Amino acid sequence: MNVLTPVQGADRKTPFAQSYANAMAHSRRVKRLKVLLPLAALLISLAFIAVSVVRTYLPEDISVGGVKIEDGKIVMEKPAVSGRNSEGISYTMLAERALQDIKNPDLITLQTIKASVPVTKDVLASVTAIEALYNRAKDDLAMTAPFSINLSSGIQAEFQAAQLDVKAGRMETAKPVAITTKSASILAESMKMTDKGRTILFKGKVKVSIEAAAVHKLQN
Amino acid sequence: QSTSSQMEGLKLSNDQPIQIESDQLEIKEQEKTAIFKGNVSVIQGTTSLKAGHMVVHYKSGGKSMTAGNTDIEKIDLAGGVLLNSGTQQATGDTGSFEMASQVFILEGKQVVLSDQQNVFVGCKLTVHANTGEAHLEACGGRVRIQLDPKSQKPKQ
Repeated sequence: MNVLTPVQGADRKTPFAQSYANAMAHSRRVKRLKVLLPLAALLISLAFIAVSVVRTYLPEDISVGGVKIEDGKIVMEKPAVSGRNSEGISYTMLAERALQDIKNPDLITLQTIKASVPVTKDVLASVTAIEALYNRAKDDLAMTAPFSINLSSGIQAEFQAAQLDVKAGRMETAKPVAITTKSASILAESMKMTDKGRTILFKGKVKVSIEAAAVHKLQN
Repeated sequence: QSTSSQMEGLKLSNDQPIQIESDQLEIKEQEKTAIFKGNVSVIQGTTSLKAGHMVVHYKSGGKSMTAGNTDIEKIDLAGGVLLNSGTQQATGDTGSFEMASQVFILEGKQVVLSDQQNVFVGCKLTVHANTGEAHLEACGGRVRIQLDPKSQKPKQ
């Protein structure tokens, strides 16, 4: 409730006018409360339903900081999703916020994401991105804004956008990509990574540059 | 019957960066190969190599390529090969380069080796990239040499 605010312009009036004005203000407050209270009750129950819905639909290994509802979406603060891919290697996905569409709970928009996704047995990819659309049913991630992937093997990849299949370790982008290692770099207009990172296809103006140091190493 | 000459320029210098360009590159972890397709060009300093198709074979064993393993074993070239370096140029149908032995081989119906105005035609050119030494073989036929009377002694 808001604090009882003094009624404006009440000071100069006669005592009668003063009490009448107070009465009027009071009834206005009552009228407002008559609307606000049920609405608040509704909101609280909705939130309660939302949390239970969220609990049942999402994989149990999701932890959520807080839940609230904003314009038709369940907003989860600091969600963390983790699971295992088909080879049993765990992947995790943390975000600042996750917005889950009430009508279609499988579609979750993730904002400011940090994910670590296994690419191959011995190589883990850590993904940082501004926004992504995670489809829980298909377990894939549509990266809608520029993002970067750092492979634990010392390879860094910059993307404009991409479609990432988390479980299968598959990724595809029709936008330019830049991959750099300590001593070499690959630029291309598009890239498709399949078979858990074992096949990577770059297409369009491919440029590979190998630094002198690496060339030297190549030859001895 | 073969002719040999010194292809100074064809020596791969090992302290200059290499720039590779192509329409497409496919890295196959399983087969340890990187396949460059379409207008492939490899440039290092004044040496340039053009081909339609280039397959780089990595040493098997050791780390996976996505794990940064870059020790190349062999390079195969096809789809018309043009090797160009300084004043010397060689063309053929296919080529290969062995990293260990540093030997570059260019083969084809007509392997043409030209050095300024001198043109040698044979069917197989072998170049030792570490020394620049080159052999052009005629495989049965004769190496046709077209010397330009004005040409001076090839510089050592």
